Amino acid sequence: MSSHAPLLQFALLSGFVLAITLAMLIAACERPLRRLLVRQAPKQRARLIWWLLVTPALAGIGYMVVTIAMPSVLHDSAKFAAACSAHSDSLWHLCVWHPSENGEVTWLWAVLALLMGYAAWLVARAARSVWRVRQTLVTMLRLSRRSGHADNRLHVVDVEQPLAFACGIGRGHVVLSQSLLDRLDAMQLRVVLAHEQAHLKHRDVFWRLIAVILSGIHLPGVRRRLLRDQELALEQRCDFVAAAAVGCPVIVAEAIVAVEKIFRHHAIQRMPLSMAFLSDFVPERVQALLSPDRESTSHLGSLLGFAVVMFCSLSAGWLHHFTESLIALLAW
Amino acid sequence: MPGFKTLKNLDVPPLGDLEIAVLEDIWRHESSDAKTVHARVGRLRSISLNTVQSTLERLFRKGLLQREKVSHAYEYSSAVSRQELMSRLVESAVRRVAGPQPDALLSAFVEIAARADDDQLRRLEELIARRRAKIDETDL
Repeated sequence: MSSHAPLLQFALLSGFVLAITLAMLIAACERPLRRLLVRQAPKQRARLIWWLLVTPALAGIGYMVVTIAMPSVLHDSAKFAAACSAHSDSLWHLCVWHPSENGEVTWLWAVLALLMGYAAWLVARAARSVWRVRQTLVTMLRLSRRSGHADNRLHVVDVEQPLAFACGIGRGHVVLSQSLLDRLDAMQLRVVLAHEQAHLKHRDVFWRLIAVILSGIHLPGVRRRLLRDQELALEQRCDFVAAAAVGCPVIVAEAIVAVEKIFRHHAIQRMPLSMAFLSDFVPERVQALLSPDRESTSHLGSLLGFAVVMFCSLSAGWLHHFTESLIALLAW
Repeated sequence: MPGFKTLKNLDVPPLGDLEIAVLEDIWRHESSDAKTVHARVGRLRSISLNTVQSTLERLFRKGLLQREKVSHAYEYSSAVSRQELMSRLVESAVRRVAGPQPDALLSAFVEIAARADDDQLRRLEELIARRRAKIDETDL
């Protein structure tokens, strides 16, 4: 193998093209997809939306890795080497993913470097922001006091604003403000705690952080709507967990309205890196709790997953030709 | 005073365990010099007077303590109450996402809540009441 550079260039470009293509496909199918998703149970909906958010980026990265790793993994395989005899004198690779014979395009490297640099800058900026907010939350937790509740992850903070949120991407913590504690009755407090503990149990903050980072490839409007749908699904899922804990969804609906009444007289912003009990989905959450049970037996997730895998597999050849043509065109 | 900051208009700086212990001590006792704080906080943690002094200095520079020279030593007192500091921590975290240039990543975690209006809330309460009545009927 004379050089890895053309293969790397091909891998980066094809991965990027695949990610963009999938993002565009999701954007084109957004309306019907969201209509189908609304009919799903919150748990399944949350999972499906998460996959919709991350699939383009994951598929692109996966494709890049496979394109780069496969030839080296199969380096000594005569079978595969024979399969790509057209280029075996210059590069070892699987035929369906072979890079252009024209080799690399110098200025395309500059474009790819620019794209990679931009992505790295976005990630670094995001990491810095997350780190700073984390520091603030850590300081808040250090200044909080333990509630004496059986769950030692429960912290109480002395602030006038009513607060109730789950935070942390590891084991996590639930933070409640004393002012909210003073205004909730025992049953409402049970609901709030069960809801927040459900967020911790499912590591919602962590998975949402991943979704937010990897969904950067989507069109801004599609991304915003999907993230919003995901947030609603997560809140509704935790409402149903709380309903199971207290034994009645109506009690949870009552607690949501009661907490909304407390919150509406105070600052209405929510904490970052956290999942707050109060969100701006009060009507949707209450109505979901009061509607008849929806036990979903849908195979939508499996179908969508199968469709994505099929698309990626079938597009290997197409993507290969397209990327080769693109490189050839740019080199021309 | 060089290096001195007021907490106003600044994000609340991160605080370590010792800094919080010292701050809590000052909140409890209103004002103290380094030796007194060391006697109460430092000895328990087996740390030197110098460490306590530099912690007090750091808290002063972060704008969380104020100080006054009494004889040869500084007398430290709190510049913000516990509740005020906590409120500022909440504001500080929220401002990063709800400010004039909200961070793109963190904005995804935060929506300025479009609250349910009074009518909507009333309708929801009626809905809940109807459902509650239905459940009560069934139970009877």
